[in-house]
Amino acid sequence: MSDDKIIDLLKNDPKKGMEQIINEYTGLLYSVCRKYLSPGTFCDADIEDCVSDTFCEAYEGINSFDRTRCSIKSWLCVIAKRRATDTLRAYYKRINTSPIDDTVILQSDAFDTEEDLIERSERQRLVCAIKQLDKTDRQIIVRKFFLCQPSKQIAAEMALTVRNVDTRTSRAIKKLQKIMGE
Amino acid sequence: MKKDFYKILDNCSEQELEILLQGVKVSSGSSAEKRIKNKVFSKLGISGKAKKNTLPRRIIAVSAATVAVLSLSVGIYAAYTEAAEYTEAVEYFEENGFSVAGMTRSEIKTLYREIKSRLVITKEDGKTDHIYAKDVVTGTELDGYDRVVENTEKDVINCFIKVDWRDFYSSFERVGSSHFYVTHNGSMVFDYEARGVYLFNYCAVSDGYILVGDHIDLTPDNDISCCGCIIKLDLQGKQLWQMYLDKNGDHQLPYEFTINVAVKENSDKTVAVLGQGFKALTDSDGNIVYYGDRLIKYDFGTIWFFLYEISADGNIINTKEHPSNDSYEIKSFLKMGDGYLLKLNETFVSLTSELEVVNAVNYSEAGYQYVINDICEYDGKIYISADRLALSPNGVDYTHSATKIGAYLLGHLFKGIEKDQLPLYALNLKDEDVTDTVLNSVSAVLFVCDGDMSAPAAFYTVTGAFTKNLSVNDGKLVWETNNIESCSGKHEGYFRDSEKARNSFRISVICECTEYNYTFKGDDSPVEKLKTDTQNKLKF
Repeated sequence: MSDDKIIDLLKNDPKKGMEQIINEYTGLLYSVCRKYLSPGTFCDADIEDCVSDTFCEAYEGINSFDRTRCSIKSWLCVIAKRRATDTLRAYYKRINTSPIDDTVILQSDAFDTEEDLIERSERQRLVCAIKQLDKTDRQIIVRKFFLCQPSKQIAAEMALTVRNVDTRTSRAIKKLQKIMGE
Repeated sequence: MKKDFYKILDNCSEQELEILLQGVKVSSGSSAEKRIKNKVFSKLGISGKAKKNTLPRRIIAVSAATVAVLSLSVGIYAAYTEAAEYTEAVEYFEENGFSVAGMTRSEIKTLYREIKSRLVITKEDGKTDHIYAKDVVTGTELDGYDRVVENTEKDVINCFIKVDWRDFYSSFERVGSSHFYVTHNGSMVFDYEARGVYLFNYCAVSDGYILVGDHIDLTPDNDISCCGCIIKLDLQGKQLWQMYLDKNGDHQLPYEFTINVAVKENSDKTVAVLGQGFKALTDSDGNIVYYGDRLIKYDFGTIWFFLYEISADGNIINTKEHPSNDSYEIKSFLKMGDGYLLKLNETFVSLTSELEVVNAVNYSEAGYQYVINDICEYDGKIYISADRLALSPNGVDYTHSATKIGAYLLGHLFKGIEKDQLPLYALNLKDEDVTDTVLNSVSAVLFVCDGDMSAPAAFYTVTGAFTKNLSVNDGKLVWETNNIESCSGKHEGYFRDSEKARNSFRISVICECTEYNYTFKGDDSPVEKLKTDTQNKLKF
C-alpha cells in the first residue's frame, strides 16, 4: 500500500490505517529498538513498549509528517530510534550510572561541531558506497550493520544460507572499502 | 572499518535511511505483533479487536455491578461474577481457537478456571512422572491413567539410541566437512564424516540413516556453488550410497539445498525428500548457465518447493516442484492424504499434492511457548508432541544460553535478579533451585488433532518433562518423554568484578531424566504408562 493511501487511511479510518502500518512495520521497528535495548538489560516487553510508543507517536504526529522529505518507513525508524534512546537514557538515569558506550546516547543529540561534520561526511560516503552494491548485498549490509541482525536471522528473512550471508558480507565489506578508497 | 560501520550507520538521516531501507522488510512474530497492536489501540483509544472483545464483558460488568450496588445482594453479585467469568472464559477459548461446542456453561467455566490456575496439570508429589489427561471438548477427565508399570521390556526401534549432530554449524567452516554420529548408552556407535558436505537434516530409517545436505564447491570467482546431496548409511555408519542432485551430467535435478530440506522413509521403504531450493539459471534458450565448464549458476529470484521420491537403493522414482512465495524452515514432514504437512519450528504448513501451500497452523497459548518436537499420523488423526515452556515475566534470556529452551529456563532462573548481580548469582546457583524452576516451567504436551489440523480435539500433559519421539508400534501409538528427576546449572565463562556489566558467561541447564513411554490406542485413550530403564542427560 502506498504511503499516500496509508496517510489517507490514518486520517479517515484510524483503525484500518494503524492496522496497516503495524502489520507492515512492526518487524522493522522491533529490530531498530532491539538494537539499542540489549536483551541482557531489557526484556521483550520493554522493546514492545518502545515499538508501540513509536506507533502512537506516529499516529498523533501524522499531520506534521512531510511526505516530500521521506517515506513513512524512514520516518517511523527515526521515531523508533529516538524512543529507544529515551528508554535507554531513562534506564541509566534510574540506575544512576553512565552507559558503557556513551556514544549510543550521544549520537541521538544533534551536535553541529567539526567532529560531527566529519562524521556526517564519512556517513554520506558510506551510504553512497552501499548504494553501489547490488540489491542483495545492500540489504545484507543494512540488516547487519544498521539493524544489527545476526546472520541466522538475515538468512531466514532473505531465504539465503548462513554461510551465504557471511560470505556475501565479507565480500561486500571489501567492496565498500575499495569504493571508499581505504 | 567493519566495526565502525555500526557506528557510522547509527546516526543516519531520514534521507539516508530512505536509500538504505529500500526493499528491506523484516518479519515480526505474530504474537508480538498482536500484543503491540493491542497496546497501541488501547493507548490511542481506537476501536480495534482488543477493545471490541472487552465490550460485552464491560456491559455485563457494569450491569451486574449496578444491580449489586442497588440491591446490596451477595447473590446478585455472585451472578455478576459468574457472568463475567463465563464471558471471559468464552472469549479465552475463542481467542485460542478451542471449540466449546457441547460443553455446559458450568463445564466451560470449570475448564477455564483450571487452565488459568494451571490445575489442569496435576502434580502429585512434586516430582514429575504423573500424567493427567484433559479432553478439551468434553471436559471429562480420563481415569485409570496413573498406573505405573515398572521395568517392563519394551522393543521400540531407536528407543535406546540417541542421534545427534556434532558441530553442526561450525564444522564446515573449520574442516570443510560435517559429522554425523550416533551414540548408544553414552558410547559412540559410529562417527561418519560427510567430506565436503554441509549436512542439513537426517532421518533414522529401518535399516540405517538418510542424511541430506549440500555438496560445496568453489567457483573460479571464489563464489560458493552447492548442489543437493543425499547419503544413506547403514546402522553401523557405513555409507551405502550417495547421490548428487546436479552432478550426474544430465542436470535433471538442478536444486541447491540452500534453504532447508527434510527426509522421511515411507512405509514401502522408499525415501521422500522434501525441501526448498533454487533452480539452475538458464539463458534465453533454456540452457543452463555455468561457471567455467561444470559448476551451475543458480537463479536466486524464485524459491521452489521440490520433492524427490527415491528407492531404497538410491534411484529416483519421482520428482515434483512448485514455486513458493516464502521460505519455510522445514524440520520434518508427513504425507497427509494427497498432500503434505510440513513441520516448522512452531508452525505447520499444509501443501497440496502439487506442493502448493494451502494454509499454516500455529498452536499457542497465552503465557506459554510451544516448541514442537514430533508429529505422527495414527488412526486418521494427527498427534503432535511439543515442549510447553512457561514464559517468564523476565522475558527470554538468549544472552547467556546456548539453546532456545535454555533461554526460556534462564528467563525464569534470572527472574528478579539485577543484571550486575547475574555473574555472582550464576556462580552460586543451587541444584535444588534449578530443579524446582525447571519442574515448574516445562511440560511435555501431546496434541490430538483431526486431519485438517484445526484446533486440537484433546491434549495430554506430563509436567516436568520434555517430549521425545512419537512412533507407531504394534498398532499402538507410543509417545516417549524424558521425565525430569533432577537438574543442575553449569556455568561457563569469564567473570571479573571490575567489569560486571561486560561479563560474558553462559549457563547450561543439565536435566537428568528417565525415559517413559505412554501408549495410546485408536480412540485417543492412553492405555499404558511405562517407565523404562533408560536414563538421559539433557543439556539446554
